[in-house]
Amino acid sequence: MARANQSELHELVGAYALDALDADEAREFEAHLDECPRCRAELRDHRDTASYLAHVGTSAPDGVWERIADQLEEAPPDMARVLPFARKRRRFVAVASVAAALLIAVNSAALIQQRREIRDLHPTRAASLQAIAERALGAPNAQRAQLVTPDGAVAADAVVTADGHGYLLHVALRTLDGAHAYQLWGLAGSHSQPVSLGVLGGHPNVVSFTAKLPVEKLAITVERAEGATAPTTSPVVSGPLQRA
Amino acid sequence: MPDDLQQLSDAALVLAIARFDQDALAEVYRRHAGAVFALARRVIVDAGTAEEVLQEVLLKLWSQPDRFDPDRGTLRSFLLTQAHSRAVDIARSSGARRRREDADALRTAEAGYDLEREVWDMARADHVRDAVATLSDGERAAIELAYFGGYTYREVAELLGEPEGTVKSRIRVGLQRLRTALHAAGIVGAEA
Repeated sequence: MARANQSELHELVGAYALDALDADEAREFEAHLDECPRCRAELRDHRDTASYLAHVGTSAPDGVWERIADQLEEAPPDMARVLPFARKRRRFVAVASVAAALLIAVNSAALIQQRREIRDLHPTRAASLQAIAERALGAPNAQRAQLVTPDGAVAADAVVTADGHGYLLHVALRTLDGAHAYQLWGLAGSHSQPVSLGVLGGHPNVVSFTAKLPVEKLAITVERAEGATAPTTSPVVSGPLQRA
Repeated sequence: MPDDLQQLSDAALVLAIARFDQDALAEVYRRHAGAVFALARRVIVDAGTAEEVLQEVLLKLWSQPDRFDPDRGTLRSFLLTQAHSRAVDIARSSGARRRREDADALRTAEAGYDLEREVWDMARADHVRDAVATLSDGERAAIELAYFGGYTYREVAELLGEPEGTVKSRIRVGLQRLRTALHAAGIVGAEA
């Protein structure tokens, strides 16, 4: 195990990039990789280089996508956690009065969709979302905002890219009880109605949202857990979006 | 919506996949499935098994999109790396294939045309071919047998009758040489 010295281990990086080490040596190299940023960078380059040797001149055989798509409907592993919820909801709606069902359909269709999208971003997905959001912060033509409390404390950063992808990050808001949720609003001009950009749950950390219309200002209110079609409380934090 | 998806970067598509957007996965498939399948088939030979590798790689992206980190490389490289690793596992576990095809692989590597033939999109094919031409015969054969043949560098050394250390360093130096040439041609490096 302690066979190889450091320079011998560096020398393995090319073969490792092509999966050309036997299992023992691969394990030994992976342990080295954890401690060697230079090899990690070199490995990334070698794998990228190798990817240019594989061609895309042909497309994949017919029928493979259909088989993949079938499995998405049957067994998306993470969706399984969400589905029991959704089924319960539907059953509830079925026994509710027609009037109530109509009310839910009319007022909340968009909200339910937004909420589902955001709830689906469970914690293990948050790591890559964080990376993407951090990257968006530095994107050219992105608009940025600091969301501050009425007494001036910064409680979140926001960025909206030129193509309308928005992210909240570094969110520092107190955790709400289960009956309430934070909701994000976009405002365009001082006279316009706030547009809901999503219900964020009771403990948002990193959030992605879509701003389809131009937005000049972002605000977050506390609403009941299912969200509201218009703000019912004054913002806990808000801030103007500005180009850097 | 699919029209919009075509405008998205690979990283944005992965983010949409994290929201269980099947159209986004379909777009990733449209962009990269050809290369993933071609590489897997090149290593495994059997087309049916290569299809299974393609399915596996796409389904894994669907169930674990957080494993892709845009700071650690392109999505294309990420998918091909996974497909290659899986294909090599399969190839190595079928010893019969190994014995049957060693001789063929060696002939191919010595004939010296294969990397050139594999090169992908036509606009870039010339640049990649030029880059491959900067390799010594020894470097080219070592990279080809390891990457497309699925052999370990020790096996490559045995096939070529060269010392293991020589093959190991030829793979590394050859990959660096390829990258330098691709970089000079303006193909790689901008994203890193």
